[in-house]
Amino acid sequence: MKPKVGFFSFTSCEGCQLVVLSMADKLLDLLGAVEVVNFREASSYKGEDYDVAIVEGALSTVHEIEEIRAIRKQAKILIAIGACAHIGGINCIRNFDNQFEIKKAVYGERAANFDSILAQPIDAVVKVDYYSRGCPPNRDGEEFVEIVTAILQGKKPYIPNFPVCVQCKMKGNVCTFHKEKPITCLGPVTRAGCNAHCPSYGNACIGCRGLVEEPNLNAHQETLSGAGLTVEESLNFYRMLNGMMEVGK
Amino acid sequence: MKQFIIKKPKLFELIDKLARETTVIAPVKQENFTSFAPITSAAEIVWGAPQTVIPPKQFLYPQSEDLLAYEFGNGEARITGLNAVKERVLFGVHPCDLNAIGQMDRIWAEKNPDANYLEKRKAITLVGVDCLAPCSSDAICLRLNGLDPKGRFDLFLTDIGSAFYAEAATKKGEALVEGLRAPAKAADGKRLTAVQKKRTALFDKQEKKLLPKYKDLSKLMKANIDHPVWEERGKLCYGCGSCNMVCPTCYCFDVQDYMHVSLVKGVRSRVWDGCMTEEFAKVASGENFREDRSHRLRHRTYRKLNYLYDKWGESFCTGCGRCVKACLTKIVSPLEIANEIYSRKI
Repeated sequence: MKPKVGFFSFTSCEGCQLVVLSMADKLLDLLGAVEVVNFREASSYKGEDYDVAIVEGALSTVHEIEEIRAIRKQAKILIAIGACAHIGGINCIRNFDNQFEIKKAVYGERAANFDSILAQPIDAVVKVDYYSRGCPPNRDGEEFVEIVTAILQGKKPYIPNFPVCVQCKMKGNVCTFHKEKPITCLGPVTRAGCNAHCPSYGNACIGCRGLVEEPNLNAHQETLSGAGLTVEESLNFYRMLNGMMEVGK
Repeated sequence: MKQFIIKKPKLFELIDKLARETTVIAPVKQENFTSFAPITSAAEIVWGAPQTVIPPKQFLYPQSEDLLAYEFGNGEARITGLNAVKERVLFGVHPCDLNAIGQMDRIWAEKNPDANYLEKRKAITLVGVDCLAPCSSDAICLRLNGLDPKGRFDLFLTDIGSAFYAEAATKKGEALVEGLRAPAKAADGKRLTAVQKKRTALFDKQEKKLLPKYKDLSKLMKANIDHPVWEERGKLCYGCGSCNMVCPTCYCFDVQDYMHVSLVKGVRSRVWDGCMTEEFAKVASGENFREDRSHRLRHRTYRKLNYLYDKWGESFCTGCGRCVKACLTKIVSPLEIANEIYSRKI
């Protein structure tokens, strides 16, 4: 019997669901292996009998926290997909500002009617079994399919725990720090698995897959200050997607 | 070894012809560096500096290579074999990389000969080009015995002004320049010697000095397993594996199975791996034999200057300097490590 899968969305752009939908032939392969019972971007049907919950987005309201708890209760397996669900992502930028001011700026006079709270990743509230990392999930959803395949096989999915530099060098890219006009980059501390997508197109890694398990942050601070960034600028660079790291992630 | 003289325009014509008829891989411009890539004409080649970001090992031992494909059906597994191998010319390889390829030829042929490497190697015509000036301030080839190619090529070219002085170490090398070569005369040999002498003096002036003697490197390493240099440098290591990926003599790999989501077919690939990354020495129980960055740095340096040196009688750092450049925290240079150990006796 095929496992029943539900997709759920919290605070996010819902781009992760779109990545899954845009996998074309890989999506058809996937649909041959699982039965989708809940997928807002694809269907208005809403089944509640899922075994596997695939969750995108960060948690940023009291209501969302209640919802994720209910999902966790139903799902045998919970997969967090995308940077918002995995590390809080871009939503966490707000955590470093005055919450009252922010609420006022967004909702104006009706601010008091909204139950918004500090943004947090899914595993700040419930147990997450697997992470499909990245903003958006990388390699045209390839790693996401690999995770599902590993679950079907009953084995641990292979997720690299080395920095982006490994795959960036494999591609033969000129290091962002060694370009004629150097660019500061989070690659040396960020978990690979994206095939160094951003540096391959001439951009810096912004850390969307989260940090490796043992990032050498002291070494990175030296590298960044060597490239002319102040401590504050370095922190802001991390906070773009990895703000939660500073509260013990 | 046979010596010839080849006029420059003739060589360029040959490259153009080869590029049309077969695959020629040579250094081409890549931003402010170069990279080995297939070319369509000799005009694309960057001679000398700057150096390529990664060495040409990728054409003999690719970053990721499918070893076999499998399919399940009717109660059995069907396995299909290796990829087809194409004839290719690898052109413009510097002496440091020629030495590295020579070393890899021995490594991959030892004990369990690796057909994936050896088949590709056999299909490659290796044309080296001598360096007349250091390719970067990070180069340490003269110090690590990497500047003399020691016959590890099919054909080797040295620019002696109006022509190339060509040495052919194999029949393949001779055949490549059949019809456009002239035998080298005594006067050409003299010009070659003069060019080489001037070159070596320039390298000696510009390259960082190696303080211990080359032949003592292995002993020096062995005696300094507890030197503080490992801890001091190791604490600045990212574990990013950049030094491994850009090294022409790093050849460790990981094997991964990629099962299709239908669970009826898949491929088994080998992918470059690096001993400086955190999980390289981690085993199934969760035990990590080299958890400390300092231990990993020591291991890498020992591989180059001690273990393989003792086994094969030469340094397995050929001094290309790529790791020196790639390492963002400047900890990994085998030459600098050797110098530091030598000058700071414990």
